[in-house]
Amino acid sequence: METLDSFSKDLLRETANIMAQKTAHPIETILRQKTVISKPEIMMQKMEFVADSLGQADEVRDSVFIRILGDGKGAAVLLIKPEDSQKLLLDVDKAMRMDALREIANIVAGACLGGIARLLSLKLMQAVPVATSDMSRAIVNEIVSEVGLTNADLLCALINVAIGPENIPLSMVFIFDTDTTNLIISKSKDMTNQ
Amino acid sequence: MAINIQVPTADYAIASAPDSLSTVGIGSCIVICLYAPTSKMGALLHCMLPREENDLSNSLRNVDTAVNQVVEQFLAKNIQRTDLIAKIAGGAQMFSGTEDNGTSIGKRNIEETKRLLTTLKIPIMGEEIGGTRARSLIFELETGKVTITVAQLNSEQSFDTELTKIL
Repeated sequence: METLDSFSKDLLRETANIMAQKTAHPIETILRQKTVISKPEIMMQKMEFVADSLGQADEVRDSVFIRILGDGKGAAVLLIKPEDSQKLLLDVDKAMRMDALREIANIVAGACLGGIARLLSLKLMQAVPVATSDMSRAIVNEIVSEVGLTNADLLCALINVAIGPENIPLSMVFIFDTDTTNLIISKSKDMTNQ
Repeated sequence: MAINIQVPTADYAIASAPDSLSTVGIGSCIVICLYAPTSKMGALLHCMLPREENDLSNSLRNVDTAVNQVVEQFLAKNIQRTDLIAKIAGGAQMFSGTEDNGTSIGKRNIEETKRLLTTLKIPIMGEEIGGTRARSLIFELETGKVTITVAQLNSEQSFDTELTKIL
């Protein structure tokens, strides 16, 4: 993965840009708040370095994990500080907060994956979202262990979102295994040749 | 002066008393503390996966290759396998419903660790395994004591207390 040529990296960046563009609308629709999406970051990492590269690995995060299935293998992960999710979901009963985050992650992941699936003619499905609140490193390590079980090289697309007048930060991370990364590159190259 | 050595994921450290070894954010990963009581030398391994099934770029990622590598290190320091005891922690399942074929990564890490240590005839003298919460751990080489902390959610769904267990 470290040996990807610059053209392949550009194609992956473009894929991440498409996912980022698809992120804003569902969040604005659900939360009825203005949303600003940062330029996505693309990282190619060995699985043991992913948690630290996402930042604040020793802090607690509310998180939602959605397994990606179909032509590709990977995960969509929502990460937000617990105090920020409380601010973001003020109208939601505390007991329902994680359910609300699950729903947000599910819709955002669906929009993002649907966007690249249509563009690249891929069949990408998502499993039922699961949620927990705990130390970020422990959460991310379990997810990358699932995705990188047979190959430790992982592609991570990090999309940072700022929501509402307070710019409440939320991160969506898409993690793909090596085969899926190569498939995205191959399909993107096919598309650019057409 | 005693120092504390932080061990990152997919890595290990060996040290002697009065130093201590620690690691944080143990979820499905498994942490294996190997200790030679007579020499007060110990190793802490933080492994992610049970067996060498993926690329070979880091043998410390997997329980089987990491433990064997550390046992070799002890042998080089003239500490035999029979001198060692083990204490293990981790193997949680942070998310329900993430099992592959009914077995979570955490459970597979626990099974492989117990299988390997049994094969190597290294007795497991303490364990804090399974569950659904992340753990942090400090291994004191003066005594061989392993202190594990688990953050606890309160009724407000915030972390404000820590449960401590000593092995």
